[in-house]
Amino acid sequence: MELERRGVVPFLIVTSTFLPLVRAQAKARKVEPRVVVVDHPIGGLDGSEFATRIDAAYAGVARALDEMRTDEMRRTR
Amino acid sequence: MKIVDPTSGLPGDAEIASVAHDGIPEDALCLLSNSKPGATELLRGVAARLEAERGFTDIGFASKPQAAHPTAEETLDHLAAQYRMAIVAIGD
Amino acid sequence: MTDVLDVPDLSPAEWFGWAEEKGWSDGLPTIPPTEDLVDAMLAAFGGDPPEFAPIPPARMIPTLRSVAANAVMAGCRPADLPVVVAALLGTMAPAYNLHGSLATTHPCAPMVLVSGPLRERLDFNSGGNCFGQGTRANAVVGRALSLVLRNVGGAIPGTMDRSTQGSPAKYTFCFAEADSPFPSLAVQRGFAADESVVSVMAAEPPHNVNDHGSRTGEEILVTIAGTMAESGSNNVYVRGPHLLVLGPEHADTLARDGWTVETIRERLWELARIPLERISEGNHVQFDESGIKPEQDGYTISDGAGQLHICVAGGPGKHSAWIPSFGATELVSTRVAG
Repeated sequence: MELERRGVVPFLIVTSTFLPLVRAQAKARKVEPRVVVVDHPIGGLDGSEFATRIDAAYAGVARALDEMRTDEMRRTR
Repeated sequence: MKIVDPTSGLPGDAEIASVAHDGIPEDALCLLSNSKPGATELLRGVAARLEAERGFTDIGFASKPQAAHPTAEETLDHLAAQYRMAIVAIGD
Repeated sequence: MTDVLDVPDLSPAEWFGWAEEKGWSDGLPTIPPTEDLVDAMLAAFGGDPPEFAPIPPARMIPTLRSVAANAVMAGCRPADLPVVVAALLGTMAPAYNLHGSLATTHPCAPMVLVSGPLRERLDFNSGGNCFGQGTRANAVVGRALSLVLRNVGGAIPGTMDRSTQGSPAKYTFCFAEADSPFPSLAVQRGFAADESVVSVMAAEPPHNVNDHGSRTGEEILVTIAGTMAESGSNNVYVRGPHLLVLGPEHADTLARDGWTVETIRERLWELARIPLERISEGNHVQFDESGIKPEQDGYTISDGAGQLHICVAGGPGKHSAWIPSFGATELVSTRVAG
């Protein structure tokens, strides 16, 4: 969020458990970051569990990138 | 009865000037890890997929020294001067 | 902007439920912060209006009135407000790391340690059961600070306060240090003995050190070091400050045997080691990634003798307490105004 205030577009990967905190902090800072939610937790997982987190995070980031591009195209039309 | 609002206060965020991004490529992307267990590995995994499937190159990386510490202002300024986008794990 | 709210006239029991519904309570009953009670508290505030910083996570800057309103709600007397303000200012020092300490999964609470003449003037308990119930000043000052952080700063459990288990210390964690054979913590930190000082640290509740058997200071330090050598403490890999609160009888034995604050600190640094076999393989990796390496036969507690702060509090008995911290924090001491 501090990056967004500096003009960088952030994609925040958060676990579902921490989503309320991130939403509340974004509201407090008056920013609207693009949020990618993955299952909690990230730490303490075995290899296959962790691979599913990477898959979910990548899918979310890819989707957010596409949405950002679409938004940009709409704005420049 | 009249009470004093115990939640009252003044908004506290100082304005931070956005960095001019002239000359920085549209897809300049970095990773910022909060150094919680697994966060850096997760970001690296996502970056590898973005390079393989989306053609991103030269993805930058920065991390907090430890999860419990805030990200240094210098680190944020440094990233903002070089990149247009950041993937942050886990967002805080 | 007005900070005055017109609310229905409510009985104490109705107010309890009303404030709870508004999200303003820690779960215990509060006093309605009526204008007259808040004004009376402000009238007793001596010094200049303090310059407060934003309180995370909501990043709101409290006013002296909103701090006083929370102090009223907590049950403070007007004379308690300067102590609450000093404690709040201490938590706002960047080194304290208020944002991290409020949003973390760690159970840390804002510990408030009172030194100097105000201890007696306001009846703070530095003696028996000083960490426990039964003394108004200890109860309400720590509670007022927690209410400010909750109500102005938005540190609400489940949303912005992400503590996995929390701790009872989050209701209130305030005590005073006792006179002892050693210089007070405030004097150790450069304040004059006649100054009243509040020291804050994002801390775990006290970990008891029971030692009825030892007969010398050296033996007592062996037992304290054993309590400190805890493999699940943030001080192992986040490092940072920690506090030893010697019970008076342990302190007397140590003083009798010629120990000083400095030599106690140095000896505990040598003795408190976590044997390698008590650290899991995964934690070895995590510690290593955090730049923490074992020293010969074990891991150290924090990164030097100077990170251990020492004071004396408590009543008769053979108990002391070790208070580990969040790690990414500092013990911050602030003179009480007025």
